[in-house]
Amino acid sequence: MSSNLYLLSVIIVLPFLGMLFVLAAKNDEKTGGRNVYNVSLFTVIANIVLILRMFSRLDVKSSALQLVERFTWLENPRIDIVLGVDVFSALLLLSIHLAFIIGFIAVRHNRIQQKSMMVFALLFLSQITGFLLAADVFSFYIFFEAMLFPVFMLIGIFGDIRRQGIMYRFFLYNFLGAVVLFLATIILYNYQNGAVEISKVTQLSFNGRTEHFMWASILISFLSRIPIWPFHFWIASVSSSIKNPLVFIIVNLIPLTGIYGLIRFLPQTFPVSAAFYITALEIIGVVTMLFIALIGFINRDTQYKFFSYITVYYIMYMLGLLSKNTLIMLNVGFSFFSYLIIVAGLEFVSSYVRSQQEKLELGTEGLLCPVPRLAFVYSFLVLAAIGLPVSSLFLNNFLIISSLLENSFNLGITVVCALVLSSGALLGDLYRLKDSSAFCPEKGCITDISKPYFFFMTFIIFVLIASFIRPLWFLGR
Amino acid sequence: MTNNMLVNLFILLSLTGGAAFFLPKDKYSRFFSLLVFAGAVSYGWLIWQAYLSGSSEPFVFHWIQYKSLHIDINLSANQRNYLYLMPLGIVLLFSLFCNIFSRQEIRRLRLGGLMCVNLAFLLLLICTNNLIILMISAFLTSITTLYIINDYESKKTYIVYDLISDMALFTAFAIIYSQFHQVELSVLTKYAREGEHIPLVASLILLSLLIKNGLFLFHNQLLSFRDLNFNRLVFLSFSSLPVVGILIYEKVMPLLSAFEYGRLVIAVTAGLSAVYALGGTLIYDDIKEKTLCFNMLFWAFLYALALTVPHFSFSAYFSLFLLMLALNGLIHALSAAASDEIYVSKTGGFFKNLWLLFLFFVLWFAIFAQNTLSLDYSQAGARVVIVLFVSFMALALAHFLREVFFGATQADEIVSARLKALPYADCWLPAVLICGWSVFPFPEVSRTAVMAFAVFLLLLAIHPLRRLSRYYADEELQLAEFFKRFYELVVLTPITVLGRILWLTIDFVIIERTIINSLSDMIKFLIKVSQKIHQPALINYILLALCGLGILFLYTGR
Repeated sequence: MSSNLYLLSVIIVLPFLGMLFVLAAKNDEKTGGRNVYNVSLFTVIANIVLILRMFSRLDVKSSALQLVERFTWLENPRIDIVLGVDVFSALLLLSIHLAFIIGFIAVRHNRIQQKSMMVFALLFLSQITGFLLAADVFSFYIFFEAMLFPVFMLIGIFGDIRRQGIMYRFFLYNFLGAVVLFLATIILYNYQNGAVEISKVTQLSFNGRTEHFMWASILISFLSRIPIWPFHFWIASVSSSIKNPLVFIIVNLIPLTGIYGLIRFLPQTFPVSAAFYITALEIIGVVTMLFIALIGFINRDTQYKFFSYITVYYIMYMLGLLSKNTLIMLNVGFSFFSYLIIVAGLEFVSSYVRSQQEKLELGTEGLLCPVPRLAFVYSFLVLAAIGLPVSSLFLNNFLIISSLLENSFNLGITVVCALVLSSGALLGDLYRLKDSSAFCPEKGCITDISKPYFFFMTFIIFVLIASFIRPLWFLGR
Repeated sequence: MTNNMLVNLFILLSLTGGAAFFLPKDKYSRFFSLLVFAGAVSYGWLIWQAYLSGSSEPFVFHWIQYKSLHIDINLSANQRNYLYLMPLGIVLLFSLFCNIFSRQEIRRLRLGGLMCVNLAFLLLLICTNNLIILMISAFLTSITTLYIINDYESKKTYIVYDLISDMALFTAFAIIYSQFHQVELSVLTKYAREGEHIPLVASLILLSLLIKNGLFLFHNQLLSFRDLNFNRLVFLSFSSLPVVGILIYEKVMPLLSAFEYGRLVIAVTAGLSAVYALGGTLIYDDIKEKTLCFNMLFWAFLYALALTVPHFSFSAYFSLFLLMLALNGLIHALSAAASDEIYVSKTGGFFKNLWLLFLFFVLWFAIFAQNTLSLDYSQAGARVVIVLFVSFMALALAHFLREVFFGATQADEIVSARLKALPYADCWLPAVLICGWSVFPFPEVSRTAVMAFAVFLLLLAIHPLRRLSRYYADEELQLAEFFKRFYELVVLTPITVLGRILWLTIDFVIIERTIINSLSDMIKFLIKVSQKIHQPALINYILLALCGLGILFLYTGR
């Protein structure tokens, strides 16, 4: 442990410390929010450096948990906190941090409630990092639930006029998930009488009814986070009501926690009692995918289209993970890497367009015509999002869909249909923004993104292209 | 740089394309375009030399090596690959040359760069022997095509068709991979023998190819190129999706031949496309649209011919391919000579000023007839296809030439006054050079070719379809987009209606109004009950005490 220098703990704690610094930072008219912003950005960049350091210490060929850190929290009752990382969670960590950087850049000039935004964003980052590094059921549960608090606060602060109803739904669905997972955690704790490592959950033997209840609880709690029918409604409402790009990115990381939970808890061989739920999950998942893709296709709200795209991909990943194939799991991990960056990038550019549009009171048609830099970035991100060979999504999608087709042909074909619809929705939206026939310079033009922004986005594009050139780089040669 | 000429070419084309983006947009753009052209000529010369020397250099880059997933990028230099590259190289040179002088082109450097990059991706497609690289090169060509199209409406039409085409190919290959876990092209033969869902996979691939080639039912995207300038239009017709389609067709033939209805689908689509294209060449007023219909006619006949030979090879039709390119060049020259006039109805009587260009057209047909009729038509089917192709071309071209070069002029005064004996060299010179190259070495002139030429001259003289010119004024026919409306009605409307119904019924009525509101009401009710119970009244004390006792009895079992 000492050789690891508590690296994982530091990675969890650093954003929390950053949050404390942000709380203490001077935020008056003179500083204009720069202190708060710079401290937040620096915190995330520093954490990325630590994550890269962590990567250098990982054995990328091993699928086992590495750099394990173990702490005794309570002696009686005995509760141990175990942290660990594998390639999959390391990739997720890196992509989440990169998505945060994009989010921070997107809200650089946003002075409305800036301090609160940064405080809760960093708190969330700390908690989701802890969640991804948690290796025991207890800390997993704590982080899983704790990250809802900053999200709840962010929705409350940055939601639109319907926010009370949205917060109510958010609370309702997630409370349900929290309660059932809490019960499952108590059962697990009761059986083991101490720390239960997640990887060992399946080795515990329960009686029939308890086992049924436990797996149902685990599935429901994770599904409440994934936009799967009927749980999709709260995320749909939140996504279309949030106009702040950073908050949008954070909210749309919540389903990731559900998917990650499924990955961690669902073993290579499902217990017999879980088989029924898995089949039901597949059916509901694929129906939801098609359902939301269809709604996204006809909806004219860009945020809803993004939500639809995000949902289709999350469910595809979830279905891919149910195939229990190590290669697919790694592909999902690496696909997440590109996917989260693309989603964050898209939200960045679309929020920029939206803010300019609202400022100048323009329609959406033809907005991208006079802004070549923004149009290039937007187009590239959409092309990457629909899975063209400009990011690792292309090859990852190919392997995931092949795996789905192998397991269930009809399911795979339905997933492809949903992908086509969600891609069509994104392209339709892009070409509405590029509609030169509706562009009227006399009404006013939006301003193009500044050169530093453009260079930053070019760097993001470069990262995506690099992920295409070496899609499975982490596996080594 | 390596010893492998194709690898070098790939790198050079990519670098040239990349460099063109970073050069100043407006300043010295002609000069830089000339440099790009000169660079392309030198690459072409090297390829030609390598082809003649018959050198063969293997080059395989192991891109992904992981357990069951091995993907190699094969850029082995051999005569077959050189041969396939040559006509595409000529298309590139043709377009780069036109690009230097084009008056209509605003972003010539960017276009030149995209053309070079496009050829680099086609190079990958030609050399590949695995499904993934095939898909990647095809999709990357789709992206360069998207950027070459600089008209909004064309782009919008193109992107929809292209998305469907690419996703169809992607799904088909994913199904194949899911069954055999192999990515080499040889797996297609295995799949054709042992695979499941062959009809679906073959249909998906066919759908993708027919869209890429812009054949009947999917011709909207090809015809939408009419809004581009001539140079872009020509380049896209001969170095973009149609070529990708035919190259993929050649590679996936083992699989398509296993699909019992494959031949029928291709035959019917090719037949309908030929008829539609013939109709288009006769009826459309827009010269660019006519040109695209000529190209559509060519691709349709190529597919029809592919059905008649046991082993289709695109290389057997390269001279025909280049001749069609030359025809495009000549039509471009005609339009340029008439101050970029694009409507046939506003031409007529151009022979006096453009007799030399007319002569080139006539000579073009003579060479075309000789080349086409000297193709191998030992199979009865091939004979019918070739004769039909030459007949259709003769009919369409004679009609077109007669309308433009003879009769009373309909051109406005400015166009008539500016009518040049020959336009800028960039419009006609490359086309004439290609025609000249096609006749070397002089073949023995066949009797059938002479007969075809005689028929062509006869058609030109009697102008049998002159009545069709009245349709030029029919705006409904000229502007109507029947197929766009058809797809909107058959595909988009049901999707929209279904989406709206789902959205309103399931999202709003069932979830929002029923589930969430019911839960909300239930919680409100429970809160109310709880508040009432906790009010200080004797009945509430008794009620609470009874509840407590009830729970106690329930759990203790007494």
